[in-house]
This record gives sequence, structure tokens and C-alpha cells, in this order.
Amino acid sequence: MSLVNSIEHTINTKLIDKHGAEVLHTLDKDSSLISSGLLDSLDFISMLMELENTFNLDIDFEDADPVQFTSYSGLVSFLCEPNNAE
Amino acid sequence: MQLNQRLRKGFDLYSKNAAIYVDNTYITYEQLDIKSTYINDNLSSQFTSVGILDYRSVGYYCAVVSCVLSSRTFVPLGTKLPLNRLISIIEQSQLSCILFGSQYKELYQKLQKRFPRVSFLCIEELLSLTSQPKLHSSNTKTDVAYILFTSGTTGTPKGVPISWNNLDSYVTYMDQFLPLTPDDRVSQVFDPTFDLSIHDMFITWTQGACLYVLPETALFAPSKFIKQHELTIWFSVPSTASIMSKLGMLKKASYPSLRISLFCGEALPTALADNWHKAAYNSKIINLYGPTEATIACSHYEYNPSESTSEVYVPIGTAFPHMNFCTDKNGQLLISGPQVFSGYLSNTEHHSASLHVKNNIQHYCSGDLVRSGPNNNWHYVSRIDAQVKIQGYRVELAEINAKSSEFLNNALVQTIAIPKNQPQSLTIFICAPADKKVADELLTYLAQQLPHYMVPKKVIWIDSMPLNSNGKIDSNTLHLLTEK
Repeated sequence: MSLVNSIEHTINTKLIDKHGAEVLHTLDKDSSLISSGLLDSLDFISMLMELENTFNLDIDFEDADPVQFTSYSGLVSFLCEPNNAE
Repeated sequence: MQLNQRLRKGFDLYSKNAAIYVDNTYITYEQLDIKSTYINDNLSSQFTSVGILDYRSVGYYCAVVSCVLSSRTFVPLGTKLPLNRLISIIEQSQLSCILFGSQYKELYQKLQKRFPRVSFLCIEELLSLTSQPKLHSSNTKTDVAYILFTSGTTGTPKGVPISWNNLDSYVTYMDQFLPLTPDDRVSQVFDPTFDLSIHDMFITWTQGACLYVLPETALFAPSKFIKQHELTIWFSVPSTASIMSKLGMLKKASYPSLRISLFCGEALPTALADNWHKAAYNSKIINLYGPTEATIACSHYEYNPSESTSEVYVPIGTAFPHMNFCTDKNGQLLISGPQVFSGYLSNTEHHSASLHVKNNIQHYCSGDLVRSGPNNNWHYVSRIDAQVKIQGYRVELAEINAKSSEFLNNALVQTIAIPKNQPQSLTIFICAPADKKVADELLTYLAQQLPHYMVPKKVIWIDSMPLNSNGKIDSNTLHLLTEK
């Protein structure tokens, strides 16, 4: 599986755990997972930590735009940026 | 001077300055004044208690100002609270009017069915009325400034009414302790149902500064917002700083614009204060402490980064000069002075447990165990009961246990907050055979009854509840079970 697919798989699992399998059909990949109520900030942080550990990423969010990186597609592309992957 | 007079003075003095930055728009003091007057002009003098159902919008702030200028009691209504909890809050507060933001139309329609006698008014509609406002319009006179609700052990939220006198005492002192200038740019991180948001508004507007309302998406990752707007004053719970630290947002010298950083709502770890100091090296760091019942905060401590300490947490410091701290024989902090409220809204049981008359003075029993350290600074030790803080919000574990047990036909349950020292989330133990479907149903039920931060993240099924030598549930063993 490519990095993108593996990351998507981890995020999907987290969302399905919380909301059931149908969540993936209704998901808007471009809107914030937090504002849409799918994850709260603590869920999001613990998912990030899990992603960092699993894929050996060292992510720097300092100048990142939270509107972008809290959306499904934004997070995946952010995590897959070459300078974030080791 | 009373708060409404102070605000009025500020509005006249700083009319052309920006008062709020919200939704990418600046609102001047003059606009805030006019908009709040529009709202006030449409409120009958019989509306003495007004609920405000809105979130981080221009309308919300105008509604609050309108209540303060006309001395009405305001009750912030959490837009994300489950319907049942909102209903309980509206019933207890005996609201005569609810101002709602147009984006909460659906919620308002549900509430209107439940409360046909309450007047519901849409804030945006009031603001779009074009009649010339009559400035400085009618006043009602209430004793209570605002009512906020906290978690209650019996399963219903507890209403804490704070009087205008309580609030005046706080604002008067804070304006001296924390002098701002019209050039200051002040963060507004706290949600409206958290009393620290009241600090943000009034400390800013009595001194002509500008309140920068963080959009919801920026709340947990505010780095970009702070830099973009060069905020000078920061105020959040330590949990926000801790999340920022985890996301790599507390790098050295990241926030040179900050000159004062305030933390309150939960214990501030010394290591975190040190990280914050490195990121915001121009900023004083002040730890505030105080329960909602004693109006926002009542003690302070300025963290000194150059002083080495073995303390895990920054002290809660000394009481404000007009407030008094002492302890009972168990080491529980008792608070007295003009910021202490005069009792809960309705439940006399809570009332008698937490207010205690000693030497003819009413003391609030905080439930916090403290010890006195060097330079008369107080240090927080622990709670005397099962109350915990999740992201600064007070959570009575008993309330979650009561609701869960009721749902599970009186099954034995126990909720704990993990990790023990700095709780981030809740885990519930249920004494029954494991059943994934029941666990899901329970969590769904709790989400309909309790605020989101009170809903456990994890369910663990156990055969029997571990007990300690006193026959009480042994939470230490439960904590060990979560580590497995």
C-alpha cells in the first residue's frame, strides 16, 4: 500500500470506529473534521499522534492553516508532503 | 464605578477604535454601541433574564453588551449542548427571552416548541431593523449579571448566578492588575459557556483594546492566528498550550508580539510554562486560579522563568487583595470576599455543602486541597472529591456514573479520568459481560445527555469492581487496568 493509502486507511478506521461504516459515504473530504463534529480536538490530536508513530513522521504544524489540515483531504496531503515524511 | 458605566465610558472614549475582530471583520466601539442599542430597543423591560444562543459571531457579542448596558441577566446557552441539557438550563434560569443567531434556527425551533411562553428573537433580524436607535435606552435592574452552569453530582447541571457586585469587584481589580492600552490585541479563545470568556470581553472593552475572536477551527491550533494578528495578550487553559506543544507550535521565539499570557481553568505544569516562555519570550506568564462561584478568578501568580523550582505545577499564588483565602482542618481552600456568589440557583443541597459561615463571614468551600508555600503563595494539591477538569471544564464523575447506571438498569459503573495527573479523556468501567452494542448505545445516549467533554472515550467491561480496604471503589486499580 502507498503512504497515501495507508494514511487514509488509518483515518478511515478511526472514523468508522466512532461513527460506523456509513460515515465514509457521507463524508465531505474538504471540510474540517472538527467543525463538522466528526472528531473533537482530542480525538484529532490522538489520531495525529498515532499517524506520526505509525508512519514515522515528524510533522511541523507551526505555520499550518488549521482550516486546511483538519479536513480529510488536507490532512492526507499535508502528511504526505516530502519534507514531513522521513 | 459599575460595569455598565465603565463600558459606556470606554465606548465614548474609544468610539473609532476597533472593539472586536470576528469572522474576518472589524467592529468599532461605536458600531458595537449602536448594534447593541438596536437589540436593547427591541427588548421589553419585562425581559429581565435573557438567554443568548449563539457562538463566536458579531451578534453574540452585541447581545452580551446589550444585556450589560441595560443591566439584564444574561445566560450564555451552549450551541453544542445536547437538547436535554439546554432545556434543563433554560428551565432553571427562568428565561423570559432568548436571543438566537440565525444559524441556530433549527435548534431555536425545537426549543420554541418546548417553551411556548419564552420570546425568541433572532439577533440578525434585530440588527437589520433600520429605525434610528434611541441611544442609552431603558434599563431594567437585576442583581444577577450572568448565570453559568457547571456539572453537578446529582445528574443535573448546577446554576451559578454571579451578581453585578461580584463582577464589578473582579473587573475593577483586573483593570488595575492588567492595564491594557487601545493598542492591545487580546485573544478570545474561551467558549461563551466558560466564565473566562467574560474576562476576555470586559477587560478588553473597559480599556479600549480589541478582542480577537478565534474561529472555531483555529482554537486548538492557534499558532497561525497569533502570528497573523500579532496578538499581545493571550488567555487560554493550559491544555491548549499543551496541544500546541505537541504539534510543534511552541518553538523558540515564535510569538514575540505577546506581552502577557494568562492561564487558568486547570493546573499549569511548570514544564509547560517554561516552554511557553521560550516561545513567547517577551511575555509575562500569569497563572490565575478561581472557581466559577468566586467570579472568574481570585488568585494569581507570576511565573518566574529564571527561578529554578522542583514544583511540578506553577503555584496558584496569592489571593487578590480584596479576597481572602484560608483552609479548613483538612486543608481545603475556603474563599471569602466580594467576588463570592451567594448560592446556587435552585438546589439547596449543593448550597449548604459549599457555603459555610465562619466568624460571621460566608466562605465558599472550593473542594480544592491546597498547601501554603514560600512567600505566602498557595499551591494546588488535589481535589477532595471526584471532580476532574477536562480541558479546563469541570466534570463531576458522579454525574456521568449516575446517567450511565440509569441507562444500564443500575449496573455498577465507575468513570475515571486519564492520565491521572493531567486528565485528557474519560474511561468508563462497567461491571457486566462485554457487549459492544450496549457500549455503543450507552455512548450515544450519553452524547445526547451530556456536554461532549463529559462523554467517555472508552468503555471497559469488568467482572467485578476492585475495592480498597475501606470498601470503596479502588480507582488506583482501575487506572492500572487502563494501562494494560
